[in-house]
Amino acid sequence: MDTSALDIVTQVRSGVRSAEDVVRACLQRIESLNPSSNALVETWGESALKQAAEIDGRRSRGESLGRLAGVPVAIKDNICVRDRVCGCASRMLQSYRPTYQATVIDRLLAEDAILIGRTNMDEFAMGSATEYSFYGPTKNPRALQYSPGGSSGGSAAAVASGMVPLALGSDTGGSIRQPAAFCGVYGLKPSYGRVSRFGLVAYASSFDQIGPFANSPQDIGLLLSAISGNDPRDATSAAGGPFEHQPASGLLRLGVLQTQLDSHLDPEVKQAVSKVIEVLGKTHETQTVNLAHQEHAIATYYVLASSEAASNLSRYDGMHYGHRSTEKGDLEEVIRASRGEGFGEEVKRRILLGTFALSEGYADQYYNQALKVRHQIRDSYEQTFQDVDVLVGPTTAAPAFEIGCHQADPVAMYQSDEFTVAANLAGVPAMSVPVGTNQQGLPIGLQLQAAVGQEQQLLDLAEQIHRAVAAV
Amino acid sequence: MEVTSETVAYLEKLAYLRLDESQRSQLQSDLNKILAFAEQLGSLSLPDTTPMTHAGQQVNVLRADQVCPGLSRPEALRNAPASDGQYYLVPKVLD
Repeated sequence: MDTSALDIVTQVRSGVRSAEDVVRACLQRIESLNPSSNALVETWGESALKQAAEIDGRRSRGESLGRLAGVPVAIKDNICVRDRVCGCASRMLQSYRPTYQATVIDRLLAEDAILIGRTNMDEFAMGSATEYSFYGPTKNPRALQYSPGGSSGGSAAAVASGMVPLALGSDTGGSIRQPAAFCGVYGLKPSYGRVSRFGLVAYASSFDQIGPFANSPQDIGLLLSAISGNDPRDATSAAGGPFEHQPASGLLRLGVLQTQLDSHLDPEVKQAVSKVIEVLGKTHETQTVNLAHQEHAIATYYVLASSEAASNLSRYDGMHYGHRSTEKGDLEEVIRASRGEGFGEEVKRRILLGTFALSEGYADQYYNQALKVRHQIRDSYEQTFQDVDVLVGPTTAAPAFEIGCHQADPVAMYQSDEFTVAANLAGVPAMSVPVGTNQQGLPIGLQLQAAVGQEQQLLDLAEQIHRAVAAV
Repeated sequence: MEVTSETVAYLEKLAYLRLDESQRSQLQSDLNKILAFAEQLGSLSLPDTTPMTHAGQQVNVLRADQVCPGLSRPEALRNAPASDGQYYLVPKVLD
């Protein structure tokens, strides 16, 4: 399987390779690798081959093809594809088939991408390890006893193992970047509003963003350009057309997040990230920066995201759609039983936490106070981006952890998002870039963050890092 | 702030959940850990900061009041756990 989407598009458009051949190779690779990693929870082989034949037919008739012609894309299980199960890795939605589809799916199809299957995730995107899944955990393809990260761990693992060249994930507090770092691939969380959330199952609506996984910055740019742009069906979607990547190599002002590098960082992570910063310093201006209230970002995020989750997930009543308990009783009893049976442990934990943070007598102390800290964090970003273009630091404090190691301590699990949540609080774009591996062969990720709307700068810098890492 | 077993029972009711005994005691302990961690937010004095509810820049997004195609009845009922083809069927609400 070719892991470059750009190469596939060139080959399919020129007729060097048929889309059908691309899809067959992709399905074969999934068949041989997926049983060990559990990255995909369903493969859509028949419809993918049908789509491929249609694309090949159009090419043979001399018709023009879209910019993702023949490229297989895997879709996270919380993005609606019409008539396909969208399970959110939950018992609650195990047989839910949406009657509509996400804007990102319409856009992928308009560009002739091929929908190959849906990927595993933490239930309702709540988790950092892809362990809280109705379909069982996903394993990191770099070392199977390790977690691929989460919640978009299935998408990251599918791209890392070469099952697919591209995948979509969603990022609420780091759910694209942390798994990208753990699996050694590129993952981008776009600016809030850059990509339509229509058809993305809501977890925490003021944070959620759909974004791409790929094996190169160019492929990230390609997928982002296909899915981005204003959507009248999402009132929070930002104005403006789709992202167009125009590579530039100008001088950038880089802000090094020294407090992150000086924190309890794994020594090999520190070394790898510092080395890349040193290389970048030869061609760009670097300065040390400190963002205010970063130490409060995790607490702020978990109070707010859980509050939004408690509200969003109140829609699952077992009456309109989703799991309904067979227990006998009145309406309220059956709703309680359905939600009790349908939701897993972490989802219940966050619903209770959010319900508490929003409840009378505590809302000021928790929810409203967290909203104020969020404002301070965003102000700090805006101020910092007056002096620098891109912030540089580690994506995670350590490489992938072993599967199951955080199960007894939710706070320890939450802290694995310590460097990623602030970008969601502020709504800025952020990207994880692979910068090597530790001695055990586990990948290390570097995080780039830019001002709202500046994805271009992230991709330019990622491309330079890509070349620098390849040259070492 | 100490989350008691009564608080967990109250939250369970508010959130329309049902937990078993072992889940209740586990979640009580988890909530205490998480809230102890979140206490740090209380140490910040921010009387002049306005709460930030959204990361978007948009205000009052409006659209033309035009009729668009919606869901048909069979589509709307397709995922219903129980229906008679016309309506959702739900457990008894009134005696």
